[in-house]
Amino acid sequence: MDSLNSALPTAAIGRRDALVVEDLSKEYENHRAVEGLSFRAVEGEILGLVGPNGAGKTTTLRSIVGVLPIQHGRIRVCGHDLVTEEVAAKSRLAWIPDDPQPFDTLTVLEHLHFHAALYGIRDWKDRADQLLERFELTEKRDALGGELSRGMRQKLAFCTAWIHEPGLVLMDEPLSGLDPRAIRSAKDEIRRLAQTGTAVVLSSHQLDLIQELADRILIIDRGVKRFEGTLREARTSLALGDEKSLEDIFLTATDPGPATDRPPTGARLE
Amino acid sequence: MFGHPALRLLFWMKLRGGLRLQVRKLRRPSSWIFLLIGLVLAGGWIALMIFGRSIGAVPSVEPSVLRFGVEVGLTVLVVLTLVGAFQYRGLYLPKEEIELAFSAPVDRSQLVRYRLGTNLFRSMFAALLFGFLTARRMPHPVFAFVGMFSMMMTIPILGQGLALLLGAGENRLAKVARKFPLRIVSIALGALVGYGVVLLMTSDGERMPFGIGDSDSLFTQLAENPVVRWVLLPVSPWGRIITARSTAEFLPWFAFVAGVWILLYELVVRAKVDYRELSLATSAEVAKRISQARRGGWAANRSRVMQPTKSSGAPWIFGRDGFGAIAWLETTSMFRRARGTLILSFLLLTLLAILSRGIGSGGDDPEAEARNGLIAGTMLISLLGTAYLCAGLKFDFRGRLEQMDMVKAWPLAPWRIFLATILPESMLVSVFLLVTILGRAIWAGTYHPLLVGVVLFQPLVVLTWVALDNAVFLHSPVRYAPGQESALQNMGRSIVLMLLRGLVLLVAVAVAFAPAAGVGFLVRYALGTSTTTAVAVAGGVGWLGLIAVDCGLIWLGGRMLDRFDVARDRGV
Repeated sequence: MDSLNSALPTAAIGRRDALVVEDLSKEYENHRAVEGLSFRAVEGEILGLVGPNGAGKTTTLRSIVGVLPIQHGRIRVCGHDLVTEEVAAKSRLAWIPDDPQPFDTLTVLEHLHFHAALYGIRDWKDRADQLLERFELTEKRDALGGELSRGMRQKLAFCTAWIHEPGLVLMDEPLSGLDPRAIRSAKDEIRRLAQTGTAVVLSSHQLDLIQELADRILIIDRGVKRFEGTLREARTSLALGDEKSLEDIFLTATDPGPATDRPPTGARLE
Repeated sequence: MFGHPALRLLFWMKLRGGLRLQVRKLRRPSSWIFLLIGLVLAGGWIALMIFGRSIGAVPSVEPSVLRFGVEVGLTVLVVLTLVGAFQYRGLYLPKEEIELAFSAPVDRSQLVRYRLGTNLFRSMFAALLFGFLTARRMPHPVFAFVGMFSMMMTIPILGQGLALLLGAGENRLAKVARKFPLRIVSIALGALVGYGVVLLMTSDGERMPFGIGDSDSLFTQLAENPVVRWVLLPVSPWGRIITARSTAEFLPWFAFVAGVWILLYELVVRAKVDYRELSLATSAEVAKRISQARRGGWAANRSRVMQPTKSSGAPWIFGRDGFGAIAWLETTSMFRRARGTLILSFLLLTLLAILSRGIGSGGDDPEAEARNGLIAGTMLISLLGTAYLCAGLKFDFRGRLEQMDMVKAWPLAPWRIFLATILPESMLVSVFLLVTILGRAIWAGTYHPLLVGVVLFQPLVVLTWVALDNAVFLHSPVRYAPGQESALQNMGRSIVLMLLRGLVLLVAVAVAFAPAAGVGFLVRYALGTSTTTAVAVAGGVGWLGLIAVDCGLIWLGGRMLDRFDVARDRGV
């Protein structure tokens, strides 16, 4: 556990862990999707998860939220073990998949009602109204799930994830399908959520988004961790100049050439 | 029953939402009309199922034979359900529920309760239907109803139990289960159930059909076979309730099955199986099947694509321009998707040819009989073959619904796109039918000038059929799919469209053949020629008339394609 602390920025040290992943491995019938992955996220932190297609990002996220069973390793959410205290762990997290699928026959407001019930929130109506207002869905409160556009579905997913004030939110490509105004609004909301103490794990191919929002980044490639730390640490590790962007870091860290011969490292690239 | 309070809420909200959606779809008068037609059809079918020919008829057979028949039926139903469980391995949840359900703070046993509750709620309608169907034909209607209802409410639990078991042992059982020819077993058992329903509906109370109940029938002998009795033992309690004649016979067995139901329910709900991975795979598979059914219907056009090889590429027989490219696309699709269907079709057509060989044999005038047999057999193969192959292939617009954006953007006149799309399928069906018809004639050693007519007319008939099907489909794309909303409206709309299609076909035939009949009459009686000459001339005029009709249908298809709205016409 201590070894992971070295990957945290100074400001984060002392805050409680919202997510601890230790030695997570996941194997499908014909290939290993994730291998020995360990990382953590603390309260109020935004962790950017990046990696090429097929790197194991979605598998990692789906394992953390309990959609996929854990084959090997350990996951703790807000202090609760995902295997032994599954319900308690899940009650502290929220999951926004890459293509949220609302219920065709339920209205937007009914989705919020259902989610509130799912997480045991009694006084949900005021909060639902606030969320609908913030995500510009007030006019759509009576629209059916099947009538929503891709962007609207995404906004609804934000609202349902926010309704129970989770300790950890995991998002897979959360801004796809949103228009520029909605993207700005969603980014503000993610920041605001983190400021309230919620840890956010943000997986995306939009590297500029990760660079803008994330406190730290986690780069994985072919199921193996390539780097975990801040942008500054990444530049230092990879001997890149201060002007280099996350895109440069990403391309260097996941270079399929000689770099792939490098053994995977724990907290950072050597 | 539905587990966690939130899941109970979800169930009721979905139910209310489904009804609300139905009401929203009834804004236009046409929706009301289609709904009404659908309701009448569904109601009529249910009434026919329940009342059949014999209202209140009780088969006059020995009680033991009656119970045996009931138990056989129940066993088939149970096996059919268990076979179905292989398709829904793990805990089936729709794709919009599964990620949410598995990441929600809800115990997995609560999810099983929710799913079982949903399944049982759905089964209730079938249970009521089967209950009524049985009640009219058993010694005591109330006991029969209760017995059948309780059986139908137990079967989903059994199915769910097996589906969960398949997820145990790291899915090893599921992997082995995949190797069984489940589809064939399902079809065979489905046929048996259908046969049983027909038996129930056609029994007249005096005597069971096909000699069932006679002391020397195979059925009666089987009823006394000890091995068969052992096989039927698991469903025997329900059989005893259904055929009970007194409260004393009914009550103990009812108490027993009620206990079994509770025990089974709790066992399934508390099963310690991590079904998540298997359920995710099942949910994805089912979502894919539903999506395919909604977009492409159930036909060879949705079969698995074979790996392309050099020999699987189709020739560019319609030229290398845009028209030829579209036709080549459809031809290649058929080559790569429909091999299995084509082989099966060939076997079926061969069977039809062999069966139709018997038509016309055994008369006094062998030559006349052979000729009549040839005509009847040819017509049979032509009509049944056209209907079967055109419905089974669908390598045309009915399989291109998801690509209509692209189709609409092709730089060709709509009528040319329409023709290029339907031509390969029409040609293939025509070749299949002509080979069968001519092969049958050669095998029978019979020749008749009719065969020349068949060679000339068959391709045009197929083209007419396919063009009409496609034009109507483009006008109003309707398909059935599991879980489809507004199924009753769609059923009503399909019937109306089928009638419309029949009407257009009648008009087309009249347009093509009325002048031919007139010309033939004139040639025969005004010019005084022989009948053969008159028929030949009339055939020629009819042939030209059919070509004119086909041209008209292709123009119509082009118009329908032109007005097709990709934003509105989604096939559901």
